[in-house]
Amino acid sequence: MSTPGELHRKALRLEWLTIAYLVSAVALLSVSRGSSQAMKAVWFEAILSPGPPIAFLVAARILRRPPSRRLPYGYHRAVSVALLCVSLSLFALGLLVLYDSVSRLMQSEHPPIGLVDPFGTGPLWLGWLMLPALAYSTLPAAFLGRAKLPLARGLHDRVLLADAEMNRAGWLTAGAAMLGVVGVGLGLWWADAVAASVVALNITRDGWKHLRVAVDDLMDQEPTVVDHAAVDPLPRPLDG
Amino acid sequence: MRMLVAAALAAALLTGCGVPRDPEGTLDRVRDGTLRVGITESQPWARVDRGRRTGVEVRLVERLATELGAKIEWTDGAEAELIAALEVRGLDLVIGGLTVDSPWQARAALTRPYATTRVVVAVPASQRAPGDIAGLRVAVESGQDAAGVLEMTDAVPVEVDDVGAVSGPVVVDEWLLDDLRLRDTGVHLRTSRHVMATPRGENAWLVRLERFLHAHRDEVAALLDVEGRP
Repeated sequence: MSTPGELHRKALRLEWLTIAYLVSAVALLSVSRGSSQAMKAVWFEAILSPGPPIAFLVAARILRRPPSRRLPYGYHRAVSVALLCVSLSLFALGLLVLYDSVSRLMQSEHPPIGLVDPFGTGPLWLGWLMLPALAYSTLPAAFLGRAKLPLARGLHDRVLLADAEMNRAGWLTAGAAMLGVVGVGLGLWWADAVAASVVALNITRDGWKHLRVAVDDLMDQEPTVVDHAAVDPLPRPLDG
Repeated sequence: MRMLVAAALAAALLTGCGVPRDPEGTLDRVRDGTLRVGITESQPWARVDRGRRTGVEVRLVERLATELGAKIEWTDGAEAELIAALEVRGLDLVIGGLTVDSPWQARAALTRPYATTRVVVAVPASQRAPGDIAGLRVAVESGQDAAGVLEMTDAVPVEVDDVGAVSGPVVVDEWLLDDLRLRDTGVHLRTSRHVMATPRGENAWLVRLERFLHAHRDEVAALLDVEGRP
């Protein structure tokens, strides 16, 4: 069993790695997104994904600052505040993309996806580039998420947990977007907007989940275990 | 995770077998059928002269129609009118000097740029190109956007009706340099990247057109030379 200090250092390393990876994923999605609504939804999600790692890293810096006259309870609530901000932006963005996608569906918007020539070797259908870009936006994230999950439990850190779960669930949105792109390739114009709606719903759900955690924390809810599945048992009963 | 693998497998299976397809079957209908083209006059890309149509883009579209075994049905009109027809798939293609900067992005599927042209400041080929256009009196055709751009440089714009009749520094389209015996000064006022417009979402048709334009990209300069002659 590692000490909390070791776990924390490992978590910091993984979060830096996550941020670096997400920046590259966003760049790849930006160049391959074309006019696809599903790609846009995944791109938006990827843009917000560095939120939790950044919150974790910022919290790690200021969490242990000593209380002052102005802040007599210290800084540990900073984590909940950060989580609140991140989850609210996820929730709002998810709703926005959902609205956008559903209205595109209702207007029977046909997404055009043409040729690109990214390597100067001759033109290639952009849809074929979207698929690897989507795969890249999710597969490394899944491994990072899996690696961060035990750390989050060990450290009892909710931001880290939220982040790990989001990384791990990324394959769902990327998979939906891939089906959307393949659907458009097969001439099913609605596949793109439907896939985008699935992605948007997932973003909204993520945001909602984390929003509840953050609000419960800030409202001083009865202490629970790290994933809120149960009330945290007391180590020993208190005397009457 | 299973969904991801399924999508990847599906993609692998579909490569090369008719993907992307058209939701409304435009390419299949055009092939050995009728190609409905909307055309707006725009020198030297598209011209309508007593029922005859000429210009760089007209030539290209005629070649594409031959490749596809299609006969062309022309519709003359203003850009906004033609794009509106394209939106409801009343047309298959709109041409007439469209560029990537045109405002139709949201209503039509524009091709990748197939040609890039420049508006340049030039001097007679007999003169040496000046290192700097500051203070230079440069003739420019009135009513062109290049005239406005020239205003923003240090040159002194002189508005004229026909730059072909001027014997000093002038603003011209680069394909006219040889015809007017001019030399490019290296000062480029505007760069246009030319595209054509297709109905949104007809991706097989869009990709077919883009492949055609890519394959014939080297012929555009020669076509411009012929069609762009003053």
